[in-house]
Amino acid sequence: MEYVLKTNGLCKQYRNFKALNGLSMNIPKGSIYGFVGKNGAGKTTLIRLVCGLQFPTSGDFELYGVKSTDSKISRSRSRIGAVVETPSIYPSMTAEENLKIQYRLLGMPSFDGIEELLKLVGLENTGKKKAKNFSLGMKQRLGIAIALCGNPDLIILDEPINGLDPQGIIEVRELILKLNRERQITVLISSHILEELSKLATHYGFIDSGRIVKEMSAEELEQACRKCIHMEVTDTKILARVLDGMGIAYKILDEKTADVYAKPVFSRLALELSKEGCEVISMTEHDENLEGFFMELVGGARR
Amino acid sequence: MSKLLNTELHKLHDIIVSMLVITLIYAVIGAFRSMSNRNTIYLGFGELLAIFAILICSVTGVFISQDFENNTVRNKLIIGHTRLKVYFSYQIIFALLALILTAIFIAVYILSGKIFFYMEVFRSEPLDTEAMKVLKENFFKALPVYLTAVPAFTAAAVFIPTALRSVAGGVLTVYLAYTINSLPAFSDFFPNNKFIEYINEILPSSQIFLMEGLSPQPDFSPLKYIAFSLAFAAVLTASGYALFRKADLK
Repeated sequence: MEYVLKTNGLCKQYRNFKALNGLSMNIPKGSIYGFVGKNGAGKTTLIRLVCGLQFPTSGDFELYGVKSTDSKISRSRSRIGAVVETPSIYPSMTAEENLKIQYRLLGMPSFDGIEELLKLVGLENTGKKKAKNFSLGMKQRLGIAIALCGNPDLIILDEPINGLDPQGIIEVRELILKLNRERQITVLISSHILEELSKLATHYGFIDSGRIVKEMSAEELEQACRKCIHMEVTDTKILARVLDGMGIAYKILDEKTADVYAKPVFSRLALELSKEGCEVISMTEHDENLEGFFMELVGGARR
Repeated sequence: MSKLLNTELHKLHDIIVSMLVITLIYAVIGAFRSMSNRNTIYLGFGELLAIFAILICSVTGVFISQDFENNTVRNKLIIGHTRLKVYFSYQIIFALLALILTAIFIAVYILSGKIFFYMEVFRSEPLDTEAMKVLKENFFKALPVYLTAVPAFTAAAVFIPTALRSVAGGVLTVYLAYTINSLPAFSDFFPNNKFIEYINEILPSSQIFLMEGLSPQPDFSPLKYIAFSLAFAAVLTASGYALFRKADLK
């Protein structure tokens, strides 16, 4: 798998506080990487390091194969666009003027594409309205448009839906999906609104206390969060044979426990198991969502 | 670097136009004031230029601090502009702006003075010919120093907001520009104090006042003052960049 960003044991310390504590993560090319963590977990700090706004205390990262310690990292950064916390915009300028400034910073030969960008983020009708008079959602979308100037291969969005109304959230979500699908842009999106992330992300990185607790794909997460009956029996080999016979999907976890992905007729299942000499010790319904999964992970990490 | 300079120039477009208008008005009013006082433009110029330097430094400080306050400096770093280029783009733009505006200010000031003189607008008693000659000589000897001092002073106006990285940087620049400009007055309170004399020779803002006067200055060396101004700018630029290079930005 090709990765656009790889971090190796990144640490960032502010006096006595360790914001990042040996963080290692990998962002696959073409993915929407959901960066999940509580407030203060280190999400924004990592983003600031990648964007060159801050420097790691130790550890390093690779952006498009170029190490952060290499002088060529600036060239790699020209392939990214980012909105870090609040959008960085000139309040006394219009949306178009803001984009023109970014085009000039990038040294683009013409302003072709500005109109298309404004259309893409839904700001094409803002005319001479100054950015300071924009709503929070409009500012956020303008920030995304600025990040998209110069056709970056990776965009980093730090809490992009914070403070947005439901309509704004849907718009930003659809925009991110569109960028990923139509322009093959890799997206690193940090958020603590898990429900929203689950509608977007193809990969996840769970962060807690400055460390990645778990990295997984959306399929793996779906599997982990799938609705099931968690069964504890005396022998899972017998359970597997019986469930196969009944045509029910399952996953054996160890010698005594298994997850069963359907609601079988329990009296019949218990009878069949009993006939084979296997007893049911306990059965619990397991219905975990992303939130529950995250809490379990973070709680686990704390223990 | 050219991309950054080009961008800053475009951002500054309206400010440059306003500054140009202010410079022209200020130069004409300044010449009017000097002529009305002593019927010469070669006396009282230092004070005018010092106020002009405060104006330029204030604009510099406020402009740069806004880049940090709005976090727009991020947009430059994220897309790969190095901190060295970002810092020096500020320094180059504002030093050049100061140089050009100072040159325009001096030119318009002299020209307006000449026009007022030939129009005989002011009937006050002119200074005697010998005094006039000394004043004029001192003024033109000091011109290269004036042209270096104001741009050099902008090094401080770039240093403060990049070190503080907030709107406080802009406010402090305005305040300090005024305070530093008041330092030459200390020599009146502490005459013959070597330390104050030395400080006044080093500070570009103070140099402006040293060369003006009715007495001839045979030992006056413009090169020494220019060297001090350049050293002042170099030290502040190096220190400012050293602070900015490793600073954690929001």
